[in-house]
Amino acid sequence: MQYIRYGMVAVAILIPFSGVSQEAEFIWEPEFSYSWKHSDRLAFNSKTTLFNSIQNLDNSSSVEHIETALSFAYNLTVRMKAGGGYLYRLTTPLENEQGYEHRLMQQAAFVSFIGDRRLSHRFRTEQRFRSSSYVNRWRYRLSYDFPLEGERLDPGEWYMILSNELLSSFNSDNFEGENRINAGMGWLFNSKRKLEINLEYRAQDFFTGDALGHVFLIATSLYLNR
Amino acid sequence: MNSGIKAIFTFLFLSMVFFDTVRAQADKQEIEKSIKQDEMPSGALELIEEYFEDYEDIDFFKETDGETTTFEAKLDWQGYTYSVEFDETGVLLDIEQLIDISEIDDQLRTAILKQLEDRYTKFEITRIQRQYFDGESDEKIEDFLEGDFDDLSLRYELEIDGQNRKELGSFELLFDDNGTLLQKRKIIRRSIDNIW
Repeated sequence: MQYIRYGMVAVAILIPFSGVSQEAEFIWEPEFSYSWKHSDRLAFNSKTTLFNSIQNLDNSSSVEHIETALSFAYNLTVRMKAGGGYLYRLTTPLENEQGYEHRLMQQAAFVSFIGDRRLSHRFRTEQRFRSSSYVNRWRYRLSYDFPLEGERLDPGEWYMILSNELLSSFNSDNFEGENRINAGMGWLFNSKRKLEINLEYRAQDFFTGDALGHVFLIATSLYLNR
Repeated sequence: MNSGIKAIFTFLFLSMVFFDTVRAQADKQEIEKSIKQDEMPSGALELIEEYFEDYEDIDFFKETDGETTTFEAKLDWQGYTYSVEFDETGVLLDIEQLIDISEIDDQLRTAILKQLEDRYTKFEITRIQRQYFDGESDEKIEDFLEGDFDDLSLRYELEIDGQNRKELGSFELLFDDNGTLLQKRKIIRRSIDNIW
């Protein structure tokens, strides 16, 4: 039951933020990810994500966007990899007026293994070609995941994942910052399947001069790989 | 709004039920769990108290593959980290001592490094354990813990990150005390797709 305590701590950390603004958004984000290895060095990933407004689940504006991405990762060493990909996003797909985004991504990651605990630094740059504008975005994420039942994560066991990400978006007219803090629990079915439930708080619109935006997100992610 | 919340909780509930079903199915696989001290075989605890007096930071683990169960204590003692493995009745199976490469005898170290250089274009040793696996003799256990290895059969387990034209990955290599490679195994790490 130790993992339940960890989960409660995660919720306790995030829930107090829910009182900070009447205009906070509450999002449910189901995600499906499929990865496959081409060789020891090269791997691919495809991912599909829905972004649902919990406040509007009963009407057609509930789905704020749906996106799908294809990316590759090349292992430079055992612990360091570089890669990139493409993402397509369709906004308000159930409404009459829709928007789109084509996104190019380049990224590098360094992973430290401490037994079965993993600490990952990820740097990513993005070029976002939206129907309404063009935006660059730079991101840095620190993630840590670890088993909750022993030193090794075996099939049928829980793990915990914590992360924090700093984001900076800019174009010729605007510059803004964002922070995403995340705590979640994962379940390892076997080496090829896992499911994660994450709670995330996003503080948006730093440096714009406007009031901060607040997003509270629950993500349910299914990962398959071969 | 209410129907949406119901849908979410239904999903979460069904997920939890599914988890437990899968968990039950996973029981036949090799499982390692953290356990409390009082779950260890009493003989194992007595042996730890006898040989590792004034140990620090001890943790206990139970490992089962569905047929065989072993118990393990990981502890810090006199500047080293030890892993001590027992069977279900508390009989000592082996002792592993975490060491640095510089603590291996010069001749053996040279022989091991030569093999790694021949096998990999780049490599980094990430972990070395000196293993002692003859638990029958109290005298030999004492010799091992005192660093008197002359009459002991030892093994050295190295974990490395290595690469060559054909391979890239983490590997576990087991050498005997003559530098003969006994076993090589690729360490299969779980996917990093959630933190990449």
